[in-house]
Amino acid sequence: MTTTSKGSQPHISRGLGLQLRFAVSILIVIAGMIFLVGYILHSHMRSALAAQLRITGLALAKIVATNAVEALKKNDQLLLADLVDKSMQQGEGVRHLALVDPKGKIIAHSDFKQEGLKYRYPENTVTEILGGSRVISYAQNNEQYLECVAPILNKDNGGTRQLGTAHLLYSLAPLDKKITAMLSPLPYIAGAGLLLVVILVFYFLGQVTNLLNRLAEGAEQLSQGSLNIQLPVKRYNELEHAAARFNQMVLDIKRSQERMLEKEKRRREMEIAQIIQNTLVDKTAPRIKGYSLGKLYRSAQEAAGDYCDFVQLSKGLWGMTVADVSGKGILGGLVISQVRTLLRSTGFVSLSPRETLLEVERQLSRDMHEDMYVTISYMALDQAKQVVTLARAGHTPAVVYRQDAKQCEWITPPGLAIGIASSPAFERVLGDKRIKLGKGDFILLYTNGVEAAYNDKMEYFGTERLSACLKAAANVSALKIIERLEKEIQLFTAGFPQLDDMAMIVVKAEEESKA
Amino acid sequence: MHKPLLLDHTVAGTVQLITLAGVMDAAGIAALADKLDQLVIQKKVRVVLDLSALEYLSSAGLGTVIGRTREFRRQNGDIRVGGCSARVDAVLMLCGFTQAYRVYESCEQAVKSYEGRS
Repeated sequence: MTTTSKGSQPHISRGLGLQLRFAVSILIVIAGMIFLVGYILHSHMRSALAAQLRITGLALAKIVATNAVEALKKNDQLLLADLVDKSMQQGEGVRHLALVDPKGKIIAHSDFKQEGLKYRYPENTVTEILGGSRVISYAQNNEQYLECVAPILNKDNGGTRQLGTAHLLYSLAPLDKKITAMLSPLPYIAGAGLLLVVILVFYFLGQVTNLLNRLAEGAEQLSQGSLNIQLPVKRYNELEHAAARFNQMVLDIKRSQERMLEKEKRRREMEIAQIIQNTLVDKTAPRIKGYSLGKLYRSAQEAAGDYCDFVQLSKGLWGMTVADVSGKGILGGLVISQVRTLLRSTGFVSLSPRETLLEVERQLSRDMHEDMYVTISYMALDQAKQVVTLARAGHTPAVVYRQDAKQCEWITPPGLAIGIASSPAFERVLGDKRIKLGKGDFILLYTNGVEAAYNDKMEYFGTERLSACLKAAANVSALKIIERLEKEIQLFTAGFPQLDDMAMIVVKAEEESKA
Repeated sequence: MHKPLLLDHTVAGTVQLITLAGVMDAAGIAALADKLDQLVIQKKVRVVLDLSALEYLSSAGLGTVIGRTREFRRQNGDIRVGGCSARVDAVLMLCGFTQAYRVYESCEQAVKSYEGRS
């Protein structure tokens, strides 16, 4: 099969061409081997039959020589002729039989016309002497001959006298015919074998070329960008294994590309989310007379799901919040944006943090994705009274440091995360807590990334380290407290990558309450 | 780097027991979500999550559990937590998960809680 590839790719000859070339090559090799084997076999058989003929011929020549003694002694021509005729009948393949006197004159011959003539040999004979007998080989008129010569010996009165020689001539042509007859089935067997080889070559090579064609077509589709190719795998063997591996390779490439695309998509999403985040989170805390304020926001990855904010609700009243959304990226950023908008708009209307969070929950839970939830700590600070009212929607507890007791209190008003339960359940559980601040007291609101900061031993920062750090930093401003806390966390984690974002705010009363 | 999430899935009768160990980071969340989505497709909607060897559960991880629990409940199934580490327990307590969803002290109790349901 010949195909033309698109573009500048060369013509590709494949399929049957390869099968034919391979089959012809195999045929030539095997035919050559069969010919060689036939030739060797023929030579061996000819040698073996010639050796056997030599033995048989010599034996017959000796018998003739023995039987001719009496007739020669009597010079009985009829008896000699009868001996020659009978011996010719007994010797299969004998071309002629001659009795020759010591002078070389033919006494008796199977061709009686030769009698009385001189017995002659052609040129280029090869003579082999075996005792008193000889075997003479020669070729004449493109025919091979073998002549067995036995002496005719008369033994009497204690002496031996040679009366002549018996010449038995064989042609080797019948041997060749015999060998040809014996080897005659060989071409048929070889032909059948060759046919079988051709069929097997076409069958097995067909499978190989079929696979190669499938792989080539698959590779062509792959090069054109199609990642949905799956070659048919007919059954499991070494060849089909290659097709299965190709399929697996395509799947691996596809998965790898999907992962890369997903990663790129996620990176772009995070970039957008980061932009949203930057517009939402103020970098600095406001100034409130009689208080010091500090805030910190650190994202663990490209964009976070944490949020912290201060907002002035009215004169002398401030709203402060820390929140954590259970998702990152654009969706998380949008939810944060909603939370910020709702808190800011609702906080002005309702002075109660509990009422504010109830309204936020009502608005937010309608549209929120079902595998997202938000935890919020929201508190309102009465600047003059130095009283904070805290509501907690499933968020980490607030920490209140008491200057007089030099102790931290963990404040956990009842509340569920927004999105975790129904609105009635949320409303039923949600409470709030009033906290009076004295001079030097401060409140820390934080997300769980603070205490869940890990080091390389998989130890986490935890509430004990947090408490110790706050106590140690109790006499400095809120901003300094945050800075020290951040430094402590950095020392603890020692550059180990963080699993969660970190957001916190600190409000510290720097004066005694006047109310 | 932190320990990756190890997820093991075994079957106890008609209940699918999924054991999580290590840290549930972004890759771990994806693996858990994939596993739970497969179970929904296979209509194997009675699930117990063993969190007793889980060292860290992020809010995104918990969000995945909450979202899938809602899906399983729509399919007449449920995801129930059977045992959790102290850290994870604190996270579940604080956000109110334990008040809205079924959390048991052990996997055996969580598996047994499905008994008697058709």
